[in-house]
Amino acid sequence: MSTPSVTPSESQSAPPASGAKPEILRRSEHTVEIVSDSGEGAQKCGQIFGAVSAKMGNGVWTVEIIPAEIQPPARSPAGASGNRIRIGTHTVTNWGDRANVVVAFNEQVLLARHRLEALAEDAIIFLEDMWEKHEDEQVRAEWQAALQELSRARYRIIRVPMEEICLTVVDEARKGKNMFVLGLLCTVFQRDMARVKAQIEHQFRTKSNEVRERNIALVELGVRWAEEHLPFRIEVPPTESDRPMVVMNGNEAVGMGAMAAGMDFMAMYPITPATSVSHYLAEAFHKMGGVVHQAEDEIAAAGCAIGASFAGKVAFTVTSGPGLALKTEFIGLATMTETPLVVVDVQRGGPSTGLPTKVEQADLLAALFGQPGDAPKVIIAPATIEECFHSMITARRIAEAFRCVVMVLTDANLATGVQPFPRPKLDPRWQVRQPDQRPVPKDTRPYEWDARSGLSRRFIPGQPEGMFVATGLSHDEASRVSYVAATNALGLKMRSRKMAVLSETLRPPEVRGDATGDLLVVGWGSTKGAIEEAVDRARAKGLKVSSTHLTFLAPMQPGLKEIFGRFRKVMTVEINHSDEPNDPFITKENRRLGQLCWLLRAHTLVDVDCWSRCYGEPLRPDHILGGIERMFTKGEKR
Amino acid sequence: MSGPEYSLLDGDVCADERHLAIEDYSSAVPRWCPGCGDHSALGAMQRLLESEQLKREKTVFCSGIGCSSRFPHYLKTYGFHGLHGRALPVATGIKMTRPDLHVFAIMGDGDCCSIGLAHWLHAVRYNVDMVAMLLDNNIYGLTKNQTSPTTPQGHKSNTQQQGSFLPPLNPLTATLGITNCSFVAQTADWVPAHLFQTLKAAFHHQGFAFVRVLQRCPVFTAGIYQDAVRHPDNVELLTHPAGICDPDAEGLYKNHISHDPADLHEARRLAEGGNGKFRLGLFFRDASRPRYNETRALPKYTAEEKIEILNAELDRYAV
Amino acid sequence: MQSDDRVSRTLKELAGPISSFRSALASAVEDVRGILSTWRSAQSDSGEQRRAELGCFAAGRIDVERFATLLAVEEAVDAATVARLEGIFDLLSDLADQKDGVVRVKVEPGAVLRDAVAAALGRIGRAFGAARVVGLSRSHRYEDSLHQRFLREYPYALWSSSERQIAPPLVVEVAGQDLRAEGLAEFLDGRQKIVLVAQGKCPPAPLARLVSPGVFVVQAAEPVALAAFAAYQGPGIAALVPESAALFTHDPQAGARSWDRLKVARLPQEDAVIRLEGLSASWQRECLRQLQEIATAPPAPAPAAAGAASNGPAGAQVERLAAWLLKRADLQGL
Repeated sequence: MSTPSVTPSESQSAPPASGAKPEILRRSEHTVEIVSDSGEGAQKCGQIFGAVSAKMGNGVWTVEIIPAEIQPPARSPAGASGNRIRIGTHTVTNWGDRANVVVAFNEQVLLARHRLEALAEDAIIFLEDMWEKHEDEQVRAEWQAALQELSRARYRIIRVPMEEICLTVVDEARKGKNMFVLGLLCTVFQRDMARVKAQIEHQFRTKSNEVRERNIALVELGVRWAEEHLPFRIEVPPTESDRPMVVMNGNEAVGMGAMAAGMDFMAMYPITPATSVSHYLAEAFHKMGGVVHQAEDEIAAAGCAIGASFAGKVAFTVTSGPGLALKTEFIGLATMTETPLVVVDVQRGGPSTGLPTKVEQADLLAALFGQPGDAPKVIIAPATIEECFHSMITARRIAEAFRCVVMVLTDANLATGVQPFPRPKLDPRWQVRQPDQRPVPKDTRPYEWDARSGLSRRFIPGQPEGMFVATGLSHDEASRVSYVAATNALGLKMRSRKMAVLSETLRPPEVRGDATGDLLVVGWGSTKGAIEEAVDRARAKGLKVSSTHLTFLAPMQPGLKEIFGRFRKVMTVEINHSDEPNDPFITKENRRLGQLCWLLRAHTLVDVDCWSRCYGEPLRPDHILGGIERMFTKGEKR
Repeated sequence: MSGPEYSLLDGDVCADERHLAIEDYSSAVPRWCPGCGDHSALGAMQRLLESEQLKREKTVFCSGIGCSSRFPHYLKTYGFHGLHGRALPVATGIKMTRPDLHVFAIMGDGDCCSIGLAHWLHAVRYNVDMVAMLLDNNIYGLTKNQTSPTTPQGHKSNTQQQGSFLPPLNPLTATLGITNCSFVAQTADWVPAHLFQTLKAAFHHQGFAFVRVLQRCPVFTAGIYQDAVRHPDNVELLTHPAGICDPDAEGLYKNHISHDPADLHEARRLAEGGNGKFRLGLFFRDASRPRYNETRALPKYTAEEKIEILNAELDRYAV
Repeated sequence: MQSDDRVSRTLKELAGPISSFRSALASAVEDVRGILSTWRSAQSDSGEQRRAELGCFAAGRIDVERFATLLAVEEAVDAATVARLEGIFDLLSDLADQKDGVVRVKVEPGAVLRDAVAAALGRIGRAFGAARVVGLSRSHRYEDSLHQRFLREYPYALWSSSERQIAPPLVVEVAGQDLRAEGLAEFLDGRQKIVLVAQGKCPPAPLARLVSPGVFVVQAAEPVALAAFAAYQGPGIAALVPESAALFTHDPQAGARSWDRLKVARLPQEDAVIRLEGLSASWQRECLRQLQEIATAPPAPAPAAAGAASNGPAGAQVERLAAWLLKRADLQGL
């Protein structure tokens, strides 16, 4: 070990702890980060750690830390890649605030997290220290500079000669450090080592025995090092439960939900971060007769799905912002021809190519109003990974029953986040039936809109006597092209009426916390867990805050105006851009607001305010709490 | 797994049926201009439906936007009149999920060769079993006289008033150049018997059958095909026992080129043209090319079977 | 006389087409059961079904009762329709329960073969008739005066081409002397197969006059000879005949010309004819001569004639012109 040339706080080079019983630090929840250069396996390490924790009965939320580039330069802050795993005694609903324990494979990726204020003030950091004596002078200089910068914080940095130790077992330490770190972390957090080994067997089931044995040997090295050097252990007690659980990410949940809904045709074009839905389905869909069609472009993917739906299926397509833009015309056509279609939009940073791997909730208005002309449709936003699964079943059913487009808005946070949830009890009645092929009743027409509800019976090719031509042109009830103004007006009215009818069947959203108060926080989508945690903290501080979370964005759930009226102020919390009220030139008149905020103002005529943060990462409860407190402190200026 | 089983209650088993006449396949009265070549194409198509006695409920015509795309409205079958340039993705989605349906895609030159070009190229490569008919009048007609990709160089239009700047795109060589191409033919609206025989051959081809119909627009491109119509010498007919046999056309046109449609290299050479003559007939056919709808065909499962499979999936994610 | 043994072995040879019909019949029984249970439960618990269809995500978010009333697309069904469907369920179940018996026919000695086959097809046809009545009932097109008879008998003449494609083969036991097959020609359509198991002596070539280009015709001694017949995707008729009769196979897939298709394994002498009331010896001999005629290739054309046929370009042109003129004159319809 070198003599530390910086502050005492980083000098802790792990004194031998043998003999003395380690100190137990008991916590109800803890957040762990593992960061490395891309390709060093930090994500694999995090996945196994998260899965083992879930199996032991802890609440878990796992988020990937993804660089935007495939091969970012090594040892650069921009290249930080890895996982954040938050574990708790109870259910964990979001990725938390700052990391309590960090493992960094080099000081540059650590620096990146530090600069993003992702680390707790008293974070325990395990840092690979091979760089200090690196042969390259510049690397040594970077190390010194980084540690200098880090020394301003009060982290507890524990230096670990990862490379040196790993080289006793493998030739190339770069490929083995992650398993060593896994052993270290599992010792610190007292994970069940039998489960750890079982999980390794599972994760590397396609690899050779040799690989699995080597990985287990590396894990054992990590265990031994931790036992010999660390004078503390962290305990996050699990909750015992015999409820069967599954653990997966949101994209896998969307794919599985589609299968549970009996959908068997998906057309797509590769786009981050939606593509892994197709990766999953490409692996599993065909087992139950489903086809993933990789189309020539986003437009064709929508077109093929619509063709399949016209022919009797309820098909779906999965995309993200730029792809959604391209599908716009076809979504309008599906609306006009009343062809059922489910569109999953895994939202990412925008506009344009934006931040492909990062989260944003900025497609809401595009989803709702993206089509030129009036194109009413249903928009659902699942808030959890479990809801990613179940929303697909409901989406399919609504699309079919209302002959309309249903958009399911998830985001990069849900797509890559991993969370355990109760294993769904599958029901055959969730599944779409085979296309109806019986003759259509005498004297019925393909758009015989029920005058009250706008609903009509769907005709499917193959049905005798049902022959009609679906058209994107204005048409009458028999689907004959009609330029008569009254006919067009009737079609517009009927397609819109269906949304009103659906909204009539919706129930008002639940309010979490008191039914009245000073502030109501309104959210949608993946931010639910973070918002609720922030609101709970605010209430613990004595603030009269409640929250509600919307899952139907179009049509809106009823009763919003009445609920809003019970609070002095209403504020949305969203991951999209809104102008800071105090920024130059921003006035109450010209301030651009969060997307849900715009909608709620129009919908309820209530003076809804917003707080949003758009940093390409999920919202943190502490940040939201800051936004809530600001509403109480900024007085009545606005 | 359930096999290809059916029930006596399936629509196509217990449906009423009788011999269908041409009128049974006709729907609304066509609203194309008098003298428009689309009338002839529609007539040939109706004749095909009648001669094959296709079940009307089992037949789907997809189209894009343009004069030609009104086609489905004039037929008593199912139809999908969709977006400009996007007939093929819809048709592909239909055929892939419902192999029991007969699928036709009707496109104009703007549809197929301009805004929908990507779909055209890939549809040829997918080789999904359907008939794709390009009604090529060399102009945008519905929107009133704008240059299309196939407009002859120098032809004046509302958008290129000094005459079309570029040499026209050749849909035949383009199609013949695409991997997995399996059927390419050219015919013309003024030889209805040949048009019918071409559609018949296309219908019986297993795979993506691309038929380009030289189609007169009496309003905007009246003169373009005039030479070929008035002077049969300006037409060369591809003949071969394996090609399209139409005694009418063989009697009318004296210039015959014996061309074996199995010969792709020669097909490409002939499609190039170059001598100013219009070549009609079957350029290429290879029924052995893989068809994507068959490559991707999968057995069907019952709801209970699906649940069993999905439960096995969930087991993989169980904690 | 050999009888039941040949019948059961024939059924084994025809197991493929028989089981595909029976499975379609069984599916129809299940379909009707499903429709009935949907109709019956439509009144009672549609809410539960709708709730289940919407999935767990709808819980607490969607008022399922309201949703269900909106989507009551299956209109109310009257009692008469339910009763009719119950009758159909019994009819189809009964046919399904007959197993292979549904395709077996025994012709009483002295009865007319054609009429017995027509009646048997009419009985089997009730399955198609019932399926049609279900379709008509569900689409509100059923009318007692027009359609009720479909359930009593549904004669072959009414069968659609699809029905003719999936009809099961018929295995008919008939006394050899009653084997007058000419009248069966009208049933040889779609994929209809008829196997006649002749008992006792019979005419030497009872099926000769049914040979036509698209029909599979077999006279054989043993059922094992019926494999290709059973697999053929078109109509066919077979007779299992005694030693004294002709043995031949007419396989439509075997070639373009009649002598390619018809293979005669044994042609008895003209004295093989039997004494039969109403079927003269010369008529029976004519059948044998017809077989021989069809099975024999014409002699190769003389070289001179061949030259004349391809008489250079001029000849070809004349022929083409003639063909063209004929087509123009539209003589085909005459």
